[in-house]
Amino acid sequence: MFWKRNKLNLKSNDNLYEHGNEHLIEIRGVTKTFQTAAGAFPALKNVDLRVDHSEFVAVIGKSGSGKSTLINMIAGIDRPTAGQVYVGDTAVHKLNEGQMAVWRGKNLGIVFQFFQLLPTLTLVENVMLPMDFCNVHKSNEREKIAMHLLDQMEMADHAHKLPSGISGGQQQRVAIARALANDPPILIADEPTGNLDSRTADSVFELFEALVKQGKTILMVTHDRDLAKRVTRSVIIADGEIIEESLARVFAALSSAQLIAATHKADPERYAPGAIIIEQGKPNDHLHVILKGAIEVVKRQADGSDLVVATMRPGQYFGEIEMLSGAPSIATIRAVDDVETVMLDQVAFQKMIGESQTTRAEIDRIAQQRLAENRGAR
Amino acid sequence: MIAPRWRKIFRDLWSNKTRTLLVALSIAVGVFGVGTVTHTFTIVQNEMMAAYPKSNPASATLYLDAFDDSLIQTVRRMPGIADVEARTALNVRVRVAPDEWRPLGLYTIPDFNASRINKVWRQGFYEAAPAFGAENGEYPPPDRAVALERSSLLIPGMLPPGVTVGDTLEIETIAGQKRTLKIAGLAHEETNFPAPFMNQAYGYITLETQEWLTGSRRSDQLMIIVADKTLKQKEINALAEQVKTKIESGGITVYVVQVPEPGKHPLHDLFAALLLLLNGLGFASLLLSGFLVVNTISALLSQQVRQIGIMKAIGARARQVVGLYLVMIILFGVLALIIAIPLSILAAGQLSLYLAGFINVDFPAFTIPPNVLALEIAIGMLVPILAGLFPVIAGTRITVRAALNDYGIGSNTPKQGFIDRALMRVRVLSRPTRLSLRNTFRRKARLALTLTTLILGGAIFISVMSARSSMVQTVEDLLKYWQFDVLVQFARPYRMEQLEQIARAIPGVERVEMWGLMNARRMRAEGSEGGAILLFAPTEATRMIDPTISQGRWLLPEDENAIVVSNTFLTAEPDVKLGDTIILKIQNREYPWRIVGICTARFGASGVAYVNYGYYARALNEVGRAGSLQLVTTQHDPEYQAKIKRDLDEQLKKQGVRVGFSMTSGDIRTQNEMFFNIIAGLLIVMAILMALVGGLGLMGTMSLNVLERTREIGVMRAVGASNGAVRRVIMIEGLFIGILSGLIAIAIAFPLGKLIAEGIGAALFEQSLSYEFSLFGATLWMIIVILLSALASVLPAHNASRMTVREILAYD
Repeated sequence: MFWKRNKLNLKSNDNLYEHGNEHLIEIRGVTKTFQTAAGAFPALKNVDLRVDHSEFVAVIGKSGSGKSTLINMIAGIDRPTAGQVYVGDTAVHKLNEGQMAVWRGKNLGIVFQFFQLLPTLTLVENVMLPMDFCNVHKSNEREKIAMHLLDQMEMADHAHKLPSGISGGQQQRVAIARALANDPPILIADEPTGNLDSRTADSVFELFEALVKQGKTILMVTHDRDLAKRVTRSVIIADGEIIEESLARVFAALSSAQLIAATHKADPERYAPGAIIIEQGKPNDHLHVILKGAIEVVKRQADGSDLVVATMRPGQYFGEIEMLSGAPSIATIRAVDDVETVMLDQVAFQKMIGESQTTRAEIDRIAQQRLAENRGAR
Repeated sequence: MIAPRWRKIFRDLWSNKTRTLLVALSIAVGVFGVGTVTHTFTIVQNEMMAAYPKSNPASATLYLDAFDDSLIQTVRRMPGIADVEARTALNVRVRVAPDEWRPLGLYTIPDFNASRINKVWRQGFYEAAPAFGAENGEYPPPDRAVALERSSLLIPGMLPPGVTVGDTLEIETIAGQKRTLKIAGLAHEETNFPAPFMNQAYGYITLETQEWLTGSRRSDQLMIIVADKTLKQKEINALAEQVKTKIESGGITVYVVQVPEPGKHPLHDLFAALLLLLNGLGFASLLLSGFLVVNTISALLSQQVRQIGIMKAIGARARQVVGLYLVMIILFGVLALIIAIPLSILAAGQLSLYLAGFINVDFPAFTIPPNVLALEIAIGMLVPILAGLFPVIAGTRITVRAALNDYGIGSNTPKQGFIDRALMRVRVLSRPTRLSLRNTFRRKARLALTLTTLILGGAIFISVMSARSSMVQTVEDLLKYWQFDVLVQFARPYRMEQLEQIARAIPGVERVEMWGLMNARRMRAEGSEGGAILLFAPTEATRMIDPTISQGRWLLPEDENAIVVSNTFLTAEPDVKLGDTIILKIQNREYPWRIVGICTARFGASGVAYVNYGYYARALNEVGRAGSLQLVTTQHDPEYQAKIKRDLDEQLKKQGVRVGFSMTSGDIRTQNEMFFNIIAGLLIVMAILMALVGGLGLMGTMSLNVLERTREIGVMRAVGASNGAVRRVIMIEGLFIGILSGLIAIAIAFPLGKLIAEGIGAALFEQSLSYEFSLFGATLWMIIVILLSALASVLPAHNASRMTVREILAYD
């Protein structure tokens, strides 16, 4: 029985979890529609998301974009209208409320924006509460463990105070200690720093970073773009859809709707080390944004030898010069190691630059700059 | 070490002491109500059941002309008779103040030491009158002394104030002789009505004392014990009739044969009715208590929604959360028991003392019966669990997302219903007033619960007050029914002329009417005889009766063999209906009568029927003779009536007329009022309790209503509402709920009061009361409800208006 299993299993031998999911957290085609007075409101639209063990993922988006709904799906706080949610060996979307509570208590630590400590319990009692509900740890050890967690959060001195007796930042530290009470492998944090000043927010964030180093997987909803830069990966969500992060980063001037449209058209591609992605002199009909690995821009010399004129890394794109001019490639693009890209075809590219003058200007500028460099390399 | 979740429950209880106390009190009310009633009746009834048979109550008592010992021997030898004992009843007057005399009953017990029937015991120390010094009394009383029945001390004014053992009483016999009688001590008789019911003191004397007072050693009451203890009342009655026939064959008249239901205490029926009434009180308080609990628990849970969400988010299963709140409810129950059990023990102690004194059983040894305690604990635990289970399950079923999103305002976006739309259109009201009214209807389930509690309290209060008014009204109607001041019934018919002459000669007599009066029995079609009824034959022009006719009509002067029977006659003879012709056996002859009307018999009346005197006298060959005399006196106060009655009795006695029974309308009023006042007093206690409980509920639900909306108050203030405006909005809402509940309560109380009045009438008097809706009760309740709802809203509103916007809007 799944709820007897204490912890999420790491991948089995075939590298797959019980339900065939490759990643620790896998969301497949999740849709969530809320019925409101104004009619049906789609909070999530056919969303896919994968998070691996020990990742620190920030979920970023505006108010009402669906980011809290997304993590609620993972935490089992809410259920998808359609789609599947797998966390480790558990098909979360199939659990009933009671199973969900037990599973959540043992496998997930949840940190809320408003701390949500129970007002009539002392801090140490608040931390002990999840152990009590889920019957984790021997009852005579719980207080010791709770004190240890509070100590880690530098809150041990206040252990016997009530939540009303400490500051917001301190309450959030206690809330994190509570989230760790049952030693869950995953932490879900809904705007944990949203109600804190920037210095306090920073120290809370440092705690999260330390936890990731200890092997925890953290999903954090945040508004704070600065903090989001410090995580392993950001998931940007807008109007209930996940935007390809690389596109959002590279084409920062695009609106949410344009990004969503671009994301829909973007195809992922993988290349082995040494693979030729674009060949000099041949036509190229895709714009590539590098997600992973490095590529070399190789220019064939008159003597037949190759000259590496540039190396590009994740967050950079290539193929724009040919896409803008329609001329054959002016250089060869070659994978240095395992490379992953997303590609936009001619139609999607033209639509993108057609809708965003700023983006077009920026791409133009980059293309001119690169052409200049190219000429210099000759 | 206690797990943190249980600590949370304790702390929640402790940190909100007012709410905790409120819920505990709500439960305590029900426990107290039922507990006190059950406790009291258990111990009093046990005492009553145990004591009564020990007195060896007479199977039948015959009231007859004075007789001597030879009659006793004759009766004792009759088959089926196990034992016979004689007693005498003397009516004397006792001086209670220089110019005030009260009646005093004296019973002669020929041999105190050998008395075996309706035993009278020595009463030592008497709790109800500790200063009397009963412990120093002498029993049996010596000659020229009286042992007073202890209940004589219960009502002031029956005896000279402050009398104690050894004092002397100044008395006057019927013959007008003055004597002084020493108080020897106290006695106690289980089998007689307590003094408060007889409205006079009474005591016991020796045969020598009787002779000293009256010059006679003869007795006038015969108490019989039948040999076969399994005989039913009807069979004993038949046997008593044989005794009567035997006695009358010897030339001695038997006036009344009294056969009580075997083994039944004389006050059994009253006691049962009281029990019914008090059980009603207990049940009502329990019902109200249940509603209060539902109300407060659901309010409490709506305050805890977010915490429920958090607990579920960190791994609590729904049943764990349900468990938490059930434990909380059980703790409320325990707290309620801690409050209610000692209080109910105290109240049961007082109430049982009062009741025991009132029905004159020994003060029960105060015990706490385990079954009563078990009942109280069961109620204290089960009522809150049953009442709280639904709100707890409903409250904890909320999803984590919904719980965490509960911001306290408009959490479940209400649809604009008919009431909302209607209220928006009422432009005459100011915007804040409209806001208050719309707030009231916003949470309809909550409103329904609050209203139900208040309406229930109010409706019961007003109904109980109405029941009381109805009882008062019934006494008034009763006195209107009989329009005479003094009534005398004779042992046998006498010449009207002679009696009228005697009566008219007495100063103070204004009008006299003579009626025919006979005992009659219905002859049933199959040949059996019905029970005895009193057949009155008022003169056609009578002005001394104002009957209540429920069917048909009253007698017309031209009626021949027409008869009006009482509803009580129909109860005994259920096959008879209006328009039937019935056969009555009167003085061993049978006469047919046609029923033209059915009247409502008044209290104390068993089967009664009325016929025209003219036809009656001719048919029975009784022309010019009558068995009943009614007179109207010039003054109508009870003292004057009593004086005329005494004068008349004296004159009749002088003329050798044998009086069977005489009474004044004042006596009827006193006796009925005595009885009614006890019940009415209990009803008032019940009403006050209901008002208290209802008020408690009102205060609780109103303040919880406001507390629940603290955040909304914050929003109002954030958008610029002044403290005054906030208070006004809440006050208007409170008042509106209060007034609405009051109006509905009045509407419900009208039929409910009638139901209760009918219930009381049926249980106590076997007939319905004259229903009178209590306008006073309705007005009083409206005032209570308005005052309390204002108070209950203004306090929390004041507190809320003192909080800063930041404090209110901050998450807990």
